[in-house]
Amino acid sequence: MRNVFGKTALSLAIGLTAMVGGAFAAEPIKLGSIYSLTGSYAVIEDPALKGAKLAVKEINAGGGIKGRTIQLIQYDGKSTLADIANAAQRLVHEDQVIAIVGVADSGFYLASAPIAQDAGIPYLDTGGTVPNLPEQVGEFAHMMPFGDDYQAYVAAEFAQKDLGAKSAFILRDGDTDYTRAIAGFFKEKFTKLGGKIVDESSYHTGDTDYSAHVTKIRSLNPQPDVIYAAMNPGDDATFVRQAREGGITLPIIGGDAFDNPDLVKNAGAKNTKDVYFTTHMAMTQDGGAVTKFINAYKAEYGVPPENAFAGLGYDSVYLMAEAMKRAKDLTSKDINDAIFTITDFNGVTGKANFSNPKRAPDKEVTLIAVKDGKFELVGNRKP
Amino acid sequence: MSAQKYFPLLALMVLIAGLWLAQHSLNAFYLQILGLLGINIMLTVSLNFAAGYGGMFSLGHPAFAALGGYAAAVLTYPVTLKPSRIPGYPDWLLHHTVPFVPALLIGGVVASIAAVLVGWPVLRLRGHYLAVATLGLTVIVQVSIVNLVDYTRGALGLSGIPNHSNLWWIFGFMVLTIYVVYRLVNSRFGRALRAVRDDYVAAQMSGVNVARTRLIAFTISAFFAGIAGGLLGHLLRILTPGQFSFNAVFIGVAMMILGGMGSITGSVIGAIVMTILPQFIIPFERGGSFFGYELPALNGLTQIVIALILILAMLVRPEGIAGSKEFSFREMIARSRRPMEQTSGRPAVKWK
Amino acid sequence: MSSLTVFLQQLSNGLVLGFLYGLIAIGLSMVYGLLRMINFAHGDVLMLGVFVALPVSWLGAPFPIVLLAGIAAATVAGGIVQWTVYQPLIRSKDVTLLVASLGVSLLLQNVVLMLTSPQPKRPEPNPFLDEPFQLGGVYLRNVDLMIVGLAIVSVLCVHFFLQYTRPGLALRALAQDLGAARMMGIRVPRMVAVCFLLGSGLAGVAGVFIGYKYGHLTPYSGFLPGVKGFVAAVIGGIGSFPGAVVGGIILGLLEVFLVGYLPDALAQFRDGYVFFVLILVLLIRPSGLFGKAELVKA
Repeated sequence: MRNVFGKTALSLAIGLTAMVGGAFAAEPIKLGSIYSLTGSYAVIEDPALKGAKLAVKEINAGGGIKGRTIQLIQYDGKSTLADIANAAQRLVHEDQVIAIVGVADSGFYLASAPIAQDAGIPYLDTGGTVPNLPEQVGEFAHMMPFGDDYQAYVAAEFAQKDLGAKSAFILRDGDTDYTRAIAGFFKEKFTKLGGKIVDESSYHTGDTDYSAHVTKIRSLNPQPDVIYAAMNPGDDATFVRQAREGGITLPIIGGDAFDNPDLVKNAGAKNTKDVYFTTHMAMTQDGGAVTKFINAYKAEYGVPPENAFAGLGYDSVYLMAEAMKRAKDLTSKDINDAIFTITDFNGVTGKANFSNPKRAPDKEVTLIAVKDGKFELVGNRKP
Repeated sequence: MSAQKYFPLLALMVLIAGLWLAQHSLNAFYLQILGLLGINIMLTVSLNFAAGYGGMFSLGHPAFAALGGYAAAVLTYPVTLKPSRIPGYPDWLLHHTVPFVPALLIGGVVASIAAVLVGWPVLRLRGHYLAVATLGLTVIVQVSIVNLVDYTRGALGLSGIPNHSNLWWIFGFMVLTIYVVYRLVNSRFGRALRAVRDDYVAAQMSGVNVARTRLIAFTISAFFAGIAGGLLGHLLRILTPGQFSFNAVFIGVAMMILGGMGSITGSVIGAIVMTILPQFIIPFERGGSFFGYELPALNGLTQIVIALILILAMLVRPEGIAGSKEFSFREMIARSRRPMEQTSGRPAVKWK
Repeated sequence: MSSLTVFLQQLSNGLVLGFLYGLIAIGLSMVYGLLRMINFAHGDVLMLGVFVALPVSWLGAPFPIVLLAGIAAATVAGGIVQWTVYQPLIRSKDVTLLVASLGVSLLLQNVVLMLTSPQPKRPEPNPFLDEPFQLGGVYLRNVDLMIVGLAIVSVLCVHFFLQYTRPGLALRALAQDLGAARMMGIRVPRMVAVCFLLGSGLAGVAGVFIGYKYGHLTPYSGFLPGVKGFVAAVIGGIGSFPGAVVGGIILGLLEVFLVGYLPDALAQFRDGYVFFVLILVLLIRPSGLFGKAELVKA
């Protein structure tokens, strides 16, 4: 008798405490993320995840959002479509997150976004740059970076106006859509401005021997005024080195893949003369927010951000956090609506306006010149 | 035994009941996994038909899945999107769509045509040479998809494929594949095929048309791979060339060998293991606290486990989980009745 | 640039690349000749070798030491792999070995990835190797000359080994007829080990040079050269040692000339052409250029 009574009283007490305690212990906000940490996209998505994790850490350290901490639930996309689609399904239906950030490839985004769209969960693309990407999915799809067209148009204008180039040679990785896209947009804008594309050349992803392309460029008569290198991260330094050592002194313009601290190190400082690129963020050390980010990243991971995608991952989380702060209630629908109200987002990858009903941000492109082995800001421009 | 005769029907009813239950109680994540499982079983069983029963070790299976998948997708693709996304096709194709099942079948036929074109010269090669030649086919198809942008949308992938696949279609075609392969294997054709595999000279001398037998098996195998590709495209709603690369070759071969070459049951088991097992490991890759222990993030854990399983399987049981034996009701009942004796005096495990 | 100079430049580009492929192909070819096994893990052993050589170079060691470190690491890795996985499977079906090698490849890639990072790495820049070397209008670097030079030296060493030493003789006997050789008293497991060690060592040489020439190393950097090495081995005649070298050179020249002389719209299919050539070789002259006319067709 006493035993049963005692047990019942005890369980009641525990239950009440749990309920009361539960009311005070705030449930974390579940933010999903899909970044590939293995496979060919790990080069760009691993830094993106690190940037995202850093942002989560900072936000939680500052008190979280509306008193609740953010819990990042991450799945490795493995650079494989089926795994990315599975990850999206898991996040939406198993882990039941209220928002997702992820992937740095438009194809990967298109594989996973419909799943979030169908469930009404806002999904922010971190690095895929097909210009009308969110439009292809639905109103819950958003993108963080500017589109390929922005980047390539700025590069073409820069080549014509700043460098005075009338003719160009295009080298591109033929296997990825991103590189084909910026090459295509560059060609479009450059010829529209009156320039001429002397010749083009494609290589396969994974190639490291550019000797044939370098020789092709050298053999052109007349020589082009500039080379546009549409490459993926990691290939940039290898090509620049081979080009310069192969005797090419022409200016080289690249895309955001060139934006990494190893460019100078791996290509050789003297080889990076006359190298320019467009990117999402200026990793120069004299901006306020950017410097803070670089130092925080270094403190957390021991290395400076490996490429611009670290900044994009960081900004992705901060954007979602901002939307969560503005949302009336922490539901997916409210968060999604809140994104459209953000007109003056100030991230490390630049200022951006997310009110565009087509959900592609209006963002500036950063132009960098490499001088004396250092990155120098040429300007922030829009096409 | 009468139980043996009714087994397939029983199994089918259990499958139907299971699918119905799944559709109504599982969330979309599990349904997608099941869908991928069905497709993987189709791919493995069809590959095994050519490789295990036919002795034609083909590394070109992903190429057929790609061809069939893209063909079906292009046919069912919404007319509003076709002209802007894949403008390369002639007008009559751009302004019409084909319903799902005919599109799938046409995809299978496209894959079959490719199989005939490639197989006719290439199938006379032996063993590893055939493997390398078919690997070449995979590369050629992949490179073509990437670069023929006006027809395939290139490396970005063909997204926006209508969501026609569901468990019923997938498992329906899977059952069809298994049934067709099973009937063929246990027919005169199947015997001829195995004769060609085991000793093609003797087979030829017994009157078997070696080249034709091989080509037929290869083509049928490609047909079902093509349909599987179409089902995959309509399940994930996107197809990319990256899905049909070396990685796909490896996974396909692994599923087949792990389950056991020359056994339909084995192919099913291999596909189940390789599709379901990773899902259990994935939550651990992220790191965090599990059962009170703090684990660091272990990127690539799934791949390492799969690699180890594969290596271990080759070392310990190279003939695969099922070997070359099929699932047999009779065998199961018989074995349960004689726990201590050896079954009919044969050694329980073959090592060579 | 005159078109002759262009041709000579592309020729040089192709030869350097070709010798690299040749070094990789030798190991693959010998192993296949002996065991009828396609070793998909060969390229990853190469990667492992150069990954071990990387910290050695960062510590400031001179190039010969770095090279030795890479060779040693690759040889040891190849030795361990064949001792733990391939040796026990010597009598298994070809397919078993092939799948086992796929497993080893996957394992090596992901273990190295887990231990390091996906970011590309390069060895400490070596001024001597980076020094440009100009001959007429042809631009090369010292590292390119070293590749060709060391490749030739390695090939000569292997040739000497095979022709004039007892283990070499044993290997050739085994390649010709495994059963007969065994009956003559040759210890097969030991010779298989020697074969793998030799091939892996050469792969290590190639790996270190790939690191210095391209300066772009990830855990995935080994697989593709491994596959291409096999293509080269087939073109030159699988199982044939001089064939592997010649096949490598042909592959290197093919890749470079396709890009150099075709318009981009056609050249972008480069890998497709390479494998198409491979299939043609298999159909027309399956034993490759130098291979024995073994039973390729069935």
